[in-house]
Amino acid sequence: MFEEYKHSDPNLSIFYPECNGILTYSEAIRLAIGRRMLLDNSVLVYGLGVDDPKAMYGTTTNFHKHFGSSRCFDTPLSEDTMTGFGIGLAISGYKPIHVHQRTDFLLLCANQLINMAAKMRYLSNGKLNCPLIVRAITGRSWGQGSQHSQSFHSMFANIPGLTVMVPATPLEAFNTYHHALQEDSPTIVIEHRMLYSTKSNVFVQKKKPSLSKISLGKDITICSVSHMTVEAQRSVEFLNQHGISADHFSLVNVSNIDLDTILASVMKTKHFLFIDHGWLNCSIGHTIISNLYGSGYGGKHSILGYQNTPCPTAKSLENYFYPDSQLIAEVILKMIGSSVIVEIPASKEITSFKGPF
Amino acid sequence: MQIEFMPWTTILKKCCQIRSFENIIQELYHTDIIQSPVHLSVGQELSSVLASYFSNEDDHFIGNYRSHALAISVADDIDALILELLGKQKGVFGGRSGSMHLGDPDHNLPWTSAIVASGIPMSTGIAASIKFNNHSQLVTVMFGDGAFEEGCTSESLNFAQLAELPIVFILEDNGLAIHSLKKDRTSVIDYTKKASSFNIKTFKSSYLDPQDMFSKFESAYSYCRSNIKPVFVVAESGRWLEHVGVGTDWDLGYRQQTSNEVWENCDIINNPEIVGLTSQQSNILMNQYTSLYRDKFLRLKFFQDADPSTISNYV
Ligand SMILES: Cc1ncc(C[n+]2csc(CCOP(=O)(O)OP(=O)(O)O)c2C)c(N)n1
Ligand SMILES: [Mg+2]
Repeated sequence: MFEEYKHSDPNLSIFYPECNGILTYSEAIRLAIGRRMLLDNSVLVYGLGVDDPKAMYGTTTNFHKHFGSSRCFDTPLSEDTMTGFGIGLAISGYKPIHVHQRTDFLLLCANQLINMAAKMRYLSNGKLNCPLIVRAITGRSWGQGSQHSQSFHSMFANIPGLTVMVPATPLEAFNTYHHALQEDSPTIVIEHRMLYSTKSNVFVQKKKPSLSKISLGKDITICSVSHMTVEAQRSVEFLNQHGISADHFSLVNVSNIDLDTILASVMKTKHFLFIDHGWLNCSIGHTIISNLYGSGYGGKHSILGYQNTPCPTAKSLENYFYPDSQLIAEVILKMIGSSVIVEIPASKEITSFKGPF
Repeated sequence: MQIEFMPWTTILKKCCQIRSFENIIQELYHTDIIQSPVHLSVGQELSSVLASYFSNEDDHFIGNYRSHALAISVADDIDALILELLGKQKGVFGGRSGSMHLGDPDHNLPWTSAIVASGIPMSTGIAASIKFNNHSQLVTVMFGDGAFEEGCTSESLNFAQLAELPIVFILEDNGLAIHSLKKDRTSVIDYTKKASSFNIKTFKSSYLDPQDMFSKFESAYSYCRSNIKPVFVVAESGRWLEHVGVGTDWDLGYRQQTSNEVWENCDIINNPEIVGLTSQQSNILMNQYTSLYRDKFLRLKFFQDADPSTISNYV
């Protein structure tokens, strides 16, 4: 099953020779991981379908050809064991990346992630390290329904010993992998299906993204997660036309919140809106809000997220399940007491998505 | 591997070390010296001792919450194990792991897991890393009959054979999972048949016949090493004590005390004649290690406790 690793081209040009620094989310992920695979022989990628023709939305295209089938390989349908497999590799000096087509499948790995990976370093008093990276993709729309659409970032971020990253832009995605693959602790990265074709400038940043600034403004502070960052930024851009501006942050590192930056912003704007890509009960948004008030913030706040229901399949119901740019704009306007009326069409990546997966 | 002319001398010595260690825990547990659950290996020493006997210095091991025997079999530094059980700073894991997670990373036994079967998948990753590096080590993974019912055990057997991983799977079949008898938990009659269905080479052994157990382990390790493929070994055994804790549990009525006689009779510490040694030899070893470990426990209990200021280190 594992062939010898044969790779001769140390040149990054095998990836995107003509990108001019602008990459899609999917290309950014492939570039970040591919670069680390070139530079570090201990990095390998495995999971159901990583070497198939669709290559995880193009994020692992040709890795098995470039790096050999011992560094990019398919697995049995055994998420639980294949997570433990990654832990075994990780404590033996590898940096394995276990890829899942949907975040929902992480529940089959939860025992290994929470009871094993998260404990490895701590219980061994620092004698063992577990640099396992887990990639999971949250789906949405075209009938993804209740079991192909969940995002468990708040749930996993509850666990000491796990780092949960939720990159929203190509730049964030690139730097998430670029840095996580040089660390020595387990990281879960939750990607989003609707983001793969979004584009941005991509370059190496000095630090792993934590809270990244999407826009600067004066009227309100917005903090958003994953695809909600795209929805929120569309609202912000519409409101800009009416002279309303926002400090908008994308929350990337859910495990280690950069509270100081959010606090400095809300002290200035006196309005805070959190938009989650998940359910709100026991969620990261509520943690941030309580920490803000505990740190002296006294202004207004509001929080948006999934409806408190499983995600329904029917489009007419699903439309009410997620916050959208229109709702976000309305909430902002209400919070700041503006009577401006906006009408924002539904996001293109949602309306144009026709599956199949 | 130290294959030698008189292997049983070495094996008996290790078994006596483990039995004495467990006996001292039984003796001192009521003084609250170990403030955690203990799952003792009394009567089930031989499989761990044989596993380490047929392993090389650089081979790897995975155990579970019942791993005093395995840890003592592989470790040189018994003090560090005792200090770990006592929750002391100088314990092998600084007291963070304790009895249910005992290990010895210096001898390739990472901390062990108390979630039944959850260490088994990890063995596939360690074995793959060996294979990727063209190294010649193997991984021993030990688990109970209850663990065989967990999904990840079947997943791991399937994957180990598929990827041709050098793993010795050792199922310690004591017929019990806490108080549940096998017949109430599984429809599998013969574990080796299920392992064989994955095309894995299997071996059946029993504490009833220690000489045969020795040769089955020998063949299993040799097959795994020379073919670089997994093997699956069943070691039929008895659990002499209660599941967790230091006492017996005959009073609970779910099993008969007389059912243990058969295991006590074939025990190589009770009857070393079975393996060509004498009771005098085993008595001397038992006396020697019992007093050695009693002294150690009583001395090490005064060592520095784990330091509260380090609680946030290594999260
Ligand atoms: C996943 C899981 N389920 C249940 C338990 C509780 N439990 C601890 S030990 C045990 C019995 C395991 O039996 P077996 O695998 O035969 O090992 P033995 O204790 O007999 O050595 C159970 C059910 C657990 N620790 N983990
Ligand atoms: Mg059992």
